[in-house]
Amino acid sequence: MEARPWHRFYDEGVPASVSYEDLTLPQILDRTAQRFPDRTALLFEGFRMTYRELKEAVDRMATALANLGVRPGDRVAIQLPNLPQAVIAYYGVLRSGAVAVMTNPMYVAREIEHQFNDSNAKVAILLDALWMKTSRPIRDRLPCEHYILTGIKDYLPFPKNFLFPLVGKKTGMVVTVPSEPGVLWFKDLLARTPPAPPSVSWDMDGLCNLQYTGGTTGVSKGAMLTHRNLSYNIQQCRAWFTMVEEGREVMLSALPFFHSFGLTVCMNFAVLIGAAQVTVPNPRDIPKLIGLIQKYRATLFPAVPTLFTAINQFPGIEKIDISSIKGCLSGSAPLPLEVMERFESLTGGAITEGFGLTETSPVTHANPLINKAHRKPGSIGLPFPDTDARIVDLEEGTREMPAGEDGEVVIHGPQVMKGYWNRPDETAQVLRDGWLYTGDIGRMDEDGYFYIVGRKKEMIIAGGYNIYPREIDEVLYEHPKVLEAAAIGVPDPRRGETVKVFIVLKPGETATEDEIIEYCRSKLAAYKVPKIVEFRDELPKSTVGKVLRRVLKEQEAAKAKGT
Amino acid sequence: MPRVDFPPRLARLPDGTEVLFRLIGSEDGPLLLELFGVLSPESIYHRFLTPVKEVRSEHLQRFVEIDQGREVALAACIRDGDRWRIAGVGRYHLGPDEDEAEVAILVGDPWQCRGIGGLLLQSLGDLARSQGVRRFTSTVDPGNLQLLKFARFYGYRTARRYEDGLIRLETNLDE
Repeated sequence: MEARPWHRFYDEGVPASVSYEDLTLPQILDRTAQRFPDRTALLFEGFRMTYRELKEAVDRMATALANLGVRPGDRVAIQLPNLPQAVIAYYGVLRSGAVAVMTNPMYVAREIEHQFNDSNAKVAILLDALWMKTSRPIRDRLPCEHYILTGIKDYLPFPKNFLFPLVGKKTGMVVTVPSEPGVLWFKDLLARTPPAPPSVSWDMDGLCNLQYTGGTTGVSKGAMLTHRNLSYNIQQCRAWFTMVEEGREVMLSALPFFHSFGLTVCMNFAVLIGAAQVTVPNPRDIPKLIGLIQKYRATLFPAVPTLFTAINQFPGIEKIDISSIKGCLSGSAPLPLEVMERFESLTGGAITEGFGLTETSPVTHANPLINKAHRKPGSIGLPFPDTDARIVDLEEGTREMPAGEDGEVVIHGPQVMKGYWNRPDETAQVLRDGWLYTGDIGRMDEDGYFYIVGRKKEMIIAGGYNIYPREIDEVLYEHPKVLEAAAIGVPDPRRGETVKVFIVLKPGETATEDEIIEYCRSKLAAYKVPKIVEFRDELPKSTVGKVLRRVLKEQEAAKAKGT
Repeated sequence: MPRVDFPPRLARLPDGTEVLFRLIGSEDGPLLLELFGVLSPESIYHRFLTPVKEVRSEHLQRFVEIDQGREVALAACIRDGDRWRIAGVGRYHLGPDEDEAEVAILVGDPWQCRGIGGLLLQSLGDLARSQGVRRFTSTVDPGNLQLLKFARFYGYRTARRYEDGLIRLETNLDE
């Protein structure tokens, strides 16, 4: 690509343009399995699987899917926490030529119904407990012909697999599943299917993932990510992380695979570089997470600021050896300088702050990793190799803004999605002449470092998740006692922001905060559920009767200042 | 500021439909409720910036009891058998600076994209100018593409500003 001001700040050895290999993700897995057949691919609670074994399991899964009638281009939903099964399922789906629809395990029935139907998923691969809790009760409203179930214990070694049911019953993670037509078991299927997947004619521009992302209208939409998008993004990461040693790294996969960040930077990047991957289904268990770093001598740890903070603040962390960590990528929310510095002094490794969107596979920007003098705290960093980024005027989006001035961040590069699934209008709105209009307001400095200063769309970012207030409003308005409702983001020391809702009850009605929160829990994934509820007689409105969320935010800010 | 004078007037849409434009009065509650009944969730959200599900009488009052001298509300009515029903409403309300007014236009889903909104905006613009208003302001959801296109189509020189997830449109009435 043409020279850009930011290229001169790249770490030594990072090219402005990468010589890509046109390999799809399953082809990359095949190659890694060939290069490092006996290298550990997956680690989970003492379970270990080599790359040769992973490839074989993936081939069996792909064959099983083909036998069930899945054809190239069909959509298969995957709803699993970070378990070995998630990696096998994902690569198995892709190997069969189908399109993966990564689905948040926290989703409740309302959200599942939308995502499975919008993508028209033919098969779903999911955790048995989620099947019983969420999908089975609404099976008649879902399009899937087959459900492939797996339990957490399926890949636990003895005696954990034996003991787990005793522990798991209490937590609801062990369930009894009635046998029904169309319901199959992951382990049985792999055991009785040979690893003989049909050959697929790969097209780098063909669809690889439908990656769902919240919508401003309250329903999520599927970003169409191609094989090129996802394959090139990990190759860009490879070029950026110059210190990576192929076949020798240990990746701590604590970011969820259903989210584009964990999908690319943990799972797919690990496969590209032949890393041993420790799958962590619950990263909120901090003692456990720290234990895993120690036990497996994890070297790479992509995470979100809240996780780095939690480790920094863990009692006695100074006395624990976590010095194996050498590289971290932080994303989803701004990384405070003190958090970065403390984590680096604890580990001796480097954290680089990066940036990305579901629509860009996701990574588009990062700070240099090696040359610390070239990092700018508070900045999302420099555009990745082959990635062009500009700041344009907010009005028309056609005029480039001078350095230092705010505008909308627009991005061009091989990781930019094809569009939104079945949503031509929304696609046309964000993709113009190959440039993605991110909806983020930012600026670029003279050196080509980018900064994010705000958003064009009403959005709350809590614990790394994007939440659209309208979706919460929609749910609250369905409550029989609620007359009016408005959700806003309020500052939260742990999650960055957290959800607060203001509610006007219908005349004569009474309700408690707990009652509202409990209701939301049944309709919204946990991270979207409001943490604070305030009852009001009315919501602030403009002279013509428009609800003013801005005023609610200002009132909150004034209150916080006053205390 | 004096009350505006707006004798009811008939106009024809490009497709030939006859539309009656008149001021909204306190007796229009039932007709507004009827209009609310044909609005899609998108139309409701774009108008109120909240996904309100029902309109109650105490709310309705606020839309039919006009703050005389500071507010103007016009109804666009179409024939429905032997009566007129409200198909769209346009209103503006003066701000603290009386040369500025907040404007809002709502057209029922069955009648959108036929020119009713444009005629409402034109009439409101004329009335506002006669009252000394020089600018219309409006807070718009960025997803309200129809309105954003519409503002451009009608040739208004419109400045847009992004404010915390919403677009503030400012239309100069002098030109």
